[in-house]
Amino acid sequence: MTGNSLEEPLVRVENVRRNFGKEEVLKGVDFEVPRGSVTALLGRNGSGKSTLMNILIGLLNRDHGEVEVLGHDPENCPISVLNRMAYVNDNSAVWPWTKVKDELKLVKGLRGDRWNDDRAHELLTRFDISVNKRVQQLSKGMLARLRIILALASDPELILLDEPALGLDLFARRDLLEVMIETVEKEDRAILISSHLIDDVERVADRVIFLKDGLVVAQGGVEDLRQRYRRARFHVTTDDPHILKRCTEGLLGVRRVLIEPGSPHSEQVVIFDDFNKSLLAKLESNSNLNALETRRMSLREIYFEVLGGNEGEF
Amino acid sequence: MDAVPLGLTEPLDFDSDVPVYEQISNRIKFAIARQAYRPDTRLPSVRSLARNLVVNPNTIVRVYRDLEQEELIYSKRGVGVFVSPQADQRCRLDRLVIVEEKLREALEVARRANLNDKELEELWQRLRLQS
Repeated sequence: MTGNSLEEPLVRVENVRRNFGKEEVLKGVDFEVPRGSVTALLGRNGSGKSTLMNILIGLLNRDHGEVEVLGHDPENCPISVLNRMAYVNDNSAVWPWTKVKDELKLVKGLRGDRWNDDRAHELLTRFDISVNKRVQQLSKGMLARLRIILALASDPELILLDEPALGLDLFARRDLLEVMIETVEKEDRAILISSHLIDDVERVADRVIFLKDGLVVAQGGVEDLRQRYRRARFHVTTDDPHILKRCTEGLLGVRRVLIEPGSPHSEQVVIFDDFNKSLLAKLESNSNLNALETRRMSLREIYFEVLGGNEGEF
Repeated sequence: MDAVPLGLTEPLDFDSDVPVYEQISNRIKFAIARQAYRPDTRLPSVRSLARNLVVNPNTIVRVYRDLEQEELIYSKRGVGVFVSPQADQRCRLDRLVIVEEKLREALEVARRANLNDKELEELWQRLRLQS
């Protein structure tokens, strides 16, 4: 086990596999969560996101591979280390019959010295949650806010958020984003968030991991990914509709060629997953191919590209 | 919390081809160019700008780092970042470059749509009268 120097990632996952019966849910996943980052885990339902999260908090064991969270194996993690992290999903435990103020006391008792009363009350005031309400009486949005308060007032170094905004309205989501932003202002803190909500993710995440069918299909800094993933629209000036497809075949950095629904065959799109100008020059050196425009893809487009099927492929 | 002048906190366009940090950086340059921030005045803190724009603070850190490298701003440890002397003149030049780039893009769109010079001229006159 390693120490906790500032350069060490807070989470390290290497070649993690996990089966449920015969079903392979994780097929060899690798990623890291650096300090000071908001890393988003993106994937469709059933891609393995929650399984991965559960492995990180030690709720599930892995079948294969290495995992370190705060420098420790979550399958055998001392309480002192558990106390430096927090986990929130839309189902994480609260005591429904208690009043909010008692809930705070209970969690404070568990968290000990790390608990920050001032932070808890500042957030309660900001979110307008009455301490005298019973937890059961809180609306879904208020309960989500309370869960976040309980997590953040514990001053965790690592926060794992598993679909925290599921079913929340825009106000609750904005509050959530705001406290996430405040949290990463402390440079050694990190957040790993799994979510469907690409609008939220593109605001706060510096890094994204795309998980599909138990494998990481793309990952990196948001800006780096947007540099690499580009769409170029070509005008094809020959009757042979497959010329662009042939010219791109085997080219590293080209993902696929497609015709957008409704477009004529003379207009085809190349999707690059590792763009550089020489690729474009190479294609344009064919006199039958003119690049009309190239542009960076948005995170939303990259999401559909790497997690979806191959719509428009011909 | 710092007051953030109009323009800086308009919603960002996350689908735009222009990276978010560049959008923010351009806005700050525009604000300096129109002297919303005069030389040696303090810019909003990383925290307040990140909260106002609802973006990761690291994005703002990057904006300020780039602007500092361009010597348009300078930072005082523990106090904040400030507009450099003469930054307004340079930002006015940058502003021209940024607008020129936008017009060039628009012109490219027009050329691809096969608009001729006469049509473009009429369009330009009409838009100028409207603005």
